[in-house]
Amino acid sequence: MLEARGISVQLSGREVLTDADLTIAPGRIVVLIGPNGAGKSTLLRAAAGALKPVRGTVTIDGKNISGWSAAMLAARRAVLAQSVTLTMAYTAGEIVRLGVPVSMRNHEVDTIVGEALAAVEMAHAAERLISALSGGEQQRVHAARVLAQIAAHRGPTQYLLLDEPTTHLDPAQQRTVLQLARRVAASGAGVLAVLHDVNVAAAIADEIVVLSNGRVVERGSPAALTPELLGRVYGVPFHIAESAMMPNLA
Amino acid sequence: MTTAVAGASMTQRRTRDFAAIGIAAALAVTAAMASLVIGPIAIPPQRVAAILFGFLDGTATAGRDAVVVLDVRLPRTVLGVLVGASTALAGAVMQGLFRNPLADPGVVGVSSGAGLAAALWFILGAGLGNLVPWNLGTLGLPLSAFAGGLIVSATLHLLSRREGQTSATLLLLAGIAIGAFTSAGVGVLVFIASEQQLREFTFWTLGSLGGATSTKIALVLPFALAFMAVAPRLARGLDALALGEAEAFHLGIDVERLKRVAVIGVAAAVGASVAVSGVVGFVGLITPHVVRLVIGPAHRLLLPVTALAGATFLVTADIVARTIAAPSEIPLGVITAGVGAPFMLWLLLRQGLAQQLR
Repeated sequence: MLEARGISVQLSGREVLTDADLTIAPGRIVVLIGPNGAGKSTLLRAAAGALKPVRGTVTIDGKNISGWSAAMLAARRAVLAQSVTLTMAYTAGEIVRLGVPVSMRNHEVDTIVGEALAAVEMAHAAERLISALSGGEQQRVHAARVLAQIAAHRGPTQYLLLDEPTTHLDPAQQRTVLQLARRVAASGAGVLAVLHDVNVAAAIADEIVVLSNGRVVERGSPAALTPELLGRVYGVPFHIAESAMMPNLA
Repeated sequence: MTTAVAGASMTQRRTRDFAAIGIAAALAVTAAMASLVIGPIAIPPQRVAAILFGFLDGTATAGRDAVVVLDVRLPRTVLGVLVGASTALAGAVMQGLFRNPLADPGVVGVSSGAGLAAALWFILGAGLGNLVPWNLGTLGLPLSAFAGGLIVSATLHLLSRREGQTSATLLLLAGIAIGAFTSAGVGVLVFIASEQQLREFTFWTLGSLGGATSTKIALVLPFALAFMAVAPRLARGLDALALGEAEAFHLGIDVERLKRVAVIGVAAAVGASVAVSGVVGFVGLITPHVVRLVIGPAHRLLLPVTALAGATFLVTADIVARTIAAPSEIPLGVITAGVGAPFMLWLLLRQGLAQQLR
């Protein structure tokens, strides 16, 4: 269980998150939604141990992570950000290998990297330069890196934190990443995702947490989302459209 | 190919790594041998080998040839290997640290900071060294060069960061400003320097392996070896850093520690190198670039191959510097920049063209 209790975060002296609670149970997908600036990514980064809250605690299996080293954190959670820019000509395989600790034996590394690339249908691209891949393919390689990190630390429950992973992706690529989140959750890991599309969020989430102005204003199953609630949070009128179209995430 | 193994396996990769390091080492050894053989006094390779073996098993050969090989060419070659390797390695580490191929101890002012500090010691501080017992005063020069390099590295590091990321533009602007400042500092020193000291300034600003002695080797050796021992431990962190500081942290890298170790290591290696051979430009900038073009950017292999290639480059440049206009010597920096800069421009042109063609 990854739990955040009463988290408040200040950035440049301004409180951007106030008293936020979050629970990610093994095998569950929790999705954070809310307008830009609501504190979604801040809450995710605090849960990842990358931001120190001014108040509140984050625990994994009941242990406070505030004193954990980067390596201890990496053994329990992996993070996929929305876009990563590389200035040097690494191959896809080298990027995925970064998810695996150096202490691991050669054949284990090969297996983990190969399976991770295959899981995102990029096994053919292992020796290709990242810069030669399309934006969607690059994002899939980074997804494979995160999968490799989780696979390399199998044992205790892993947590996958996705920060707007589908931004810049077309519907087919979004589907790949979101199916991946489902598969990771099905294997027993806990998943936290920040998403912008409320329909996609409702389609994959076990629980939705709605943030507004740095506070959690609603949480519950996707069924708890109503046009009234979304209208209040986003400040624009919402209605249920009969002919809405979105990729099938099954 | 099975689906389980994507691309080259780790074992194939290891083999490739060993081959690359082997070739780079062979080139470095060849350059070092050439440096012992080539010179104004013709000594055949067999004779050089005999003198070297005699030196190694203690049955020292007497005569003019032995003096030339053992007292002139050998220290010079060893110094070239150490300075070339640490300067190139420092360039590779700095480029990885700043996630920027423009970063180089020379370009961003670390070398000139070390040079200015060394010159300051030379003009103003040497008197202080005489007050210290034994020969500890001789450490003042490398230590002040180290301090100068460290001050510049740390300043750059602080100035060029915005919200956890290093800004390349800020880095370059800060580096250029620091470079201008150190030039002004050197200008002041030139103004107050004596004739004799002026000649020494040419040495600081253009670099030379002339006057290599075992004392100079002893000065640079611990810094160079320490940096070479630490650098491989930075490889994985520097690779992860290519994804950004946040991603590197997520992957389990202690980013702050990595940066601290890298900045101190670069300052130590560059400072010690500058103290014994002056500011030799371009080796740190161009060597990692050329090596990356051949073997890729992964630091596990890039760092050792760059160190070997830097040794090869500097020793070769020194051979040219002392033979092309013999018996006078051209400053080493003139050769490294004179050959390095056009080569770099050619690379840029080629890469630019390659991008346009894609």
